[in-house]
Amino acid sequence: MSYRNFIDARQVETGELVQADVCIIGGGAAGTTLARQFAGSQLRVVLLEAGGMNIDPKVNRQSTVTDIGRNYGAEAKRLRYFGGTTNHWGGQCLPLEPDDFERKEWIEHSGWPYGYDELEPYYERAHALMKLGPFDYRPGPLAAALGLETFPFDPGRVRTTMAKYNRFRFGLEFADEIGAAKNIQTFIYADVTGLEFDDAAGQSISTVNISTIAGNSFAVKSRVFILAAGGIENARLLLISNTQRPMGIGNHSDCVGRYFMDHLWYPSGLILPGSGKPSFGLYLSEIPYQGYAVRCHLNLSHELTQALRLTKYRSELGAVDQQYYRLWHLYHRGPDAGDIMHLIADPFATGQALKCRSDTPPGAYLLKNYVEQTPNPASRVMLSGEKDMFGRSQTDLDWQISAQDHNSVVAAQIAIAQEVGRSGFGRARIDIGKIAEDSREALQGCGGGAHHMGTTRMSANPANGVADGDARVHATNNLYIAGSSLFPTGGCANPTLTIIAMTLRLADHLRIRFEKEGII
Amino acid sequence: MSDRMRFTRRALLAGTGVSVLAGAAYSVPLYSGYASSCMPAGSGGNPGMASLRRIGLAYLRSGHEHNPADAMSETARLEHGELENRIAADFEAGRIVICDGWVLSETEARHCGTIALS
Repeated sequence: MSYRNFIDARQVETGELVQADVCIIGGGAAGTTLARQFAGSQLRVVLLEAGGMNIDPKVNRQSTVTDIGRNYGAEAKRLRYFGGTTNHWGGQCLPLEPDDFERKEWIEHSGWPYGYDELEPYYERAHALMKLGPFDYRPGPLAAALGLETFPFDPGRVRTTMAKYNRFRFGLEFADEIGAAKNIQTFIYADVTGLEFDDAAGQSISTVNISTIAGNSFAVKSRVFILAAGGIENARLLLISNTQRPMGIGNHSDCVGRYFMDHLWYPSGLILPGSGKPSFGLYLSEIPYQGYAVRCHLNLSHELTQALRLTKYRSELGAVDQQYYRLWHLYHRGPDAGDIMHLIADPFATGQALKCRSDTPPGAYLLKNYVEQTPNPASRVMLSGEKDMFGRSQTDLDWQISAQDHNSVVAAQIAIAQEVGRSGFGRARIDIGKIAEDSREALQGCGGGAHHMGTTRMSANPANGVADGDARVHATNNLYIAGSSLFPTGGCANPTLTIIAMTLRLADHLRIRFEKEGII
Repeated sequence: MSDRMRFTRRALLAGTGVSVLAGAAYSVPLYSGYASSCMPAGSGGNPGMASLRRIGLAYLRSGHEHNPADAMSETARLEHGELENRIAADFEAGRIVICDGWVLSETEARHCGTIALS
């Protein structure tokens, strides 16, 4: 990764003041995308990345997350260097669906400040940027083009959806272009220690203060600031900026850090086809297609989701027999690195294969479920008593899964199993069927998909959120947020494509703002 | 046990019970698939029958029906085609039971219950 034109903040003179029009805090997917949108413009852009160009343990120690609720393990799910978490992501892309933006009376705190139509043109642009081909997610034409079949389920009950995959490393892809842009100054090893208003009663942020692990510190003054540091760090930076606002910036309604959500990753269940059923390879692995990859999933239909008042639910499928074969091979033929790697990489499938022994007929499908988590103010990021080397509070995470989340999973699994039987395809086994009475019983052992959402949620009403529909922090004039911390709800789509679409929309908003203000 | 519950295994297999279940298109997975898919290793005997018993016991323990004896008796008298239709209708109408993790039609579950008692 090239960084020859980047500035190592550790070499900046203490006390220096950098002037900018746009100051972007965070060099991950959102931050690099936003900076790139202004490359070559008249605007002076500063991009601040806390890390360097690779993992640095000393940088990582300045942002730790301690689980005080459920086990979440946030630190393994973030990368604190240029390009951010996209340096190790799986590349799965799919858009949110129109109903994900709507308020649902059975999901408290649901509803976005704008609808799907507002974001659709930006989804198309995000697609082009991420080299994902046409913005078309219809599984039917894809299956026809590949000569593969989709499951014969009633789409009014269980539908097939598709995802595209491109492990687009934003840092790697954009480093040269951003570095070459004369109007962009990119500082690496620049850790923001706080934001300040121009005066204590004001609404405009004037300065961000920066420190480095080398001990020097400096500041950036800018017309606008954009926090793009990730779903946990965005909240932390607002909360630690408490010298002028004791509760932190944007925290007038005590929402900063609350509503922390992830996609619940809960492998559970098995579909067993009747005899003579064909294989459905389109669901079992990523298939290279036109420069990216595709794979289909099973989703509960919109109609059933609404009728049963559930959260959104999507199942990725795996094959039991493949995993059993690897076990058999390991046992009878001795260690093989490839087998061992696959067995370790998918412990759920390995467990199911062990459980089912050798009698499982070929073609059984494991269900690995990605489920929308309901927004819950008690599920939250907050400042801990522990401090980093700059004196900033570290982060505690109290991730909570509600009984509603659990019961939604149970109902969705039963609905899918019912359709498997109803259609004559086969039968399904589920691993949980018991309703949870409270959060302590909910989805024990459930993990997250490493999608940190909701901690600076958007809301039309300042009383219910942190930022407005333009991603501007309520009660500030010039502080914006980019990333999935803005999501009021998360649907069951991986968030990166939506993050990029929203960031492109933010870039347009800022451009219009600067035009109105006569700056460009 | 009531008179109606005094089934013999021979009568069940020869009549409309498991033999029909095993042959019915809907129940192929039940009998040849999952019934044998999670058998304890080394359990011996007919793995499909043992697993069907386990599922049947789960059905009987579930308390799903107010009077399982009557329901099982009625189901056991169904002819082949009627059984298939009943299973399909159960799934269509949401008359399902979770037994040992498997999501089954009530009719299938009752058959497994009968096997467990035979």
